[in-house]
Amino acid sequence: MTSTSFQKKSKAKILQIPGAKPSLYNNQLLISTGIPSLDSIIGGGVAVGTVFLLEEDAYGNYGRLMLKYFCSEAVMTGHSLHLTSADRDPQQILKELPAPIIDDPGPPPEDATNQSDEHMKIAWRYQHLPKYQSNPTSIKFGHYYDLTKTMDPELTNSIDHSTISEADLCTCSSSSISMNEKYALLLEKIKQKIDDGKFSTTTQHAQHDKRNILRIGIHSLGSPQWGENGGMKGENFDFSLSRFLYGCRALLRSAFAVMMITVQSHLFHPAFVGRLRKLCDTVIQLESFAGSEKNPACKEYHGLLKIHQLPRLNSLLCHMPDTLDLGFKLRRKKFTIEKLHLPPELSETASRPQEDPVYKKSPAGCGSTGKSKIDF
Amino acid sequence: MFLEINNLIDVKQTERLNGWFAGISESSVEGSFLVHHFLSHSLKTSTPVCFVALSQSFGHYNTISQKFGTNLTTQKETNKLVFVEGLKLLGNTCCKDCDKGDNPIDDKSVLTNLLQSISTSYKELKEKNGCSPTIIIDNISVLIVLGFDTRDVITFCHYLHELIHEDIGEKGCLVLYASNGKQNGDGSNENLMELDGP
Repeated sequence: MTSTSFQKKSKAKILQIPGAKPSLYNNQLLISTGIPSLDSIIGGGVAVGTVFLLEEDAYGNYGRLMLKYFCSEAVMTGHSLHLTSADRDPQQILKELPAPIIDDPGPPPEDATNQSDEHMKIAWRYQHLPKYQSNPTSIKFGHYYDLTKTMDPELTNSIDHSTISEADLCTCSSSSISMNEKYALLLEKIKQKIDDGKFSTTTQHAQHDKRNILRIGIHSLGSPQWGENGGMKGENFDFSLSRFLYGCRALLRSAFAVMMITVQSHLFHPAFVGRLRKLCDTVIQLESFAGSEKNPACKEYHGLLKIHQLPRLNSLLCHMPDTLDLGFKLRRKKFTIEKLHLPPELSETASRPQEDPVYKKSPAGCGSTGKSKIDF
Repeated sequence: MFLEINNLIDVKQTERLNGWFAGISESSVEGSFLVHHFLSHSLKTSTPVCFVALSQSFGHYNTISQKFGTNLTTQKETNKLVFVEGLKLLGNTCCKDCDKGDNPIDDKSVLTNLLQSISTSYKELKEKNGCSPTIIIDNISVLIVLGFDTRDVITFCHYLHELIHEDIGEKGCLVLYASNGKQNGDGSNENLMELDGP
């Protein structure tokens, strides 16, 4: 429907891939993480061609949950998914994805065809426009999910998904001196997947062939199941993980792919964690309150979310969120990330410790014997 | 290019940085804007540049340089710029390592290959343009983070330094960008900073 005669001069050079949108800040293609509140904090979404590192909380629950959201988003947008986990069976993770909340527009109005030709008296310029918008957007950017229900397996199977479990990693026969064997095998498989699925930016693509994005999810990389000893090999640092991440970065920069990795960073030496952060693009850490004394001011939240790094892609500056004090909460149905705020003061007595306690006035006598603060 | 930086380091807009060994080191604040400053400054003073990118791809630098007013693609075509895609080279060695199990790639040989490619590019640029080029390395700390021995990396820097001081005539310029993370417990990065000292 054209209401104006204005036409854009330049051809749209931005690729139209379902589920991906160009960033508002720079000319970067972004995809959603599956959690809309997180998307808005990191600048609209995760940039295609980057590595998203999530430093897990101590028990790993929330990290796994965020990875599930990432996978669910792949299903909803039709992107290809490649999931790896050495701790758990990735097929099991795929069965536990949260179900999407789809808006049901309801039955169309029955009298749609018998629109009375009411002649508009005031807004007559809009007479020729249709009454209702006829094409609702079906593939949006960022979906909402219901954690109480699991995704229909038919829906999950409708996209191209592949998994690598621990059993597949054990059958590696390649030996490399510079990297841990399991990482080397994983890197090889990712490279193969990118080449086979034509996700690389260098492959020639016919006009009618639609481009798609590959989402790679790696759960609990660097855990003892990967043969990793907290970044140490004896007394020296083991650089396998940093080489793996660098190899991934090199692969992804020239591919239409996004990688989300969860790492248990508390297992690593802090200096090593600093290195890992530098090699990834977006780095976020979850710190849950589980098992520790809850700060009464933060009892609404289940943990803190810290942003360690945001990428600078094609620009000198990275996106700066409104605030860096962020917390996450897991409600029955959804998981959100919000700006931390104190709960409102509703009680009559002041909860601040430096307030002097107000003594009760003695009931007898009109002269006040109690030490009230407003005694004259 | 940032004019304020030129004023701070007492360099005129049209001056060539001959014989300079500039080290950019950062600890808590991101310093990559200085790399772009030196790149655009060199290109504007018509000094050929050999740019070794170890942390980002070509597209990233190209987009930012366009905002500064230089198009890296045209500079490449007119032989004013040689862009060494370090990210791809090193990334490929990490990938290739898993394919060829019987031909392991040694760390030292990787650095030697990189040095060779920089050296040949430098000499080519010098021949074609007649003036000594500038070598800029974006993030030499990547080599340390990847696990190359600090001594090897320092030797690598020394060789580059020798390269720019080869001729008695006009000397080249070397700019190294090293980033020291906030929590770098080991002393490897500190050693690299010492190198940039005098």
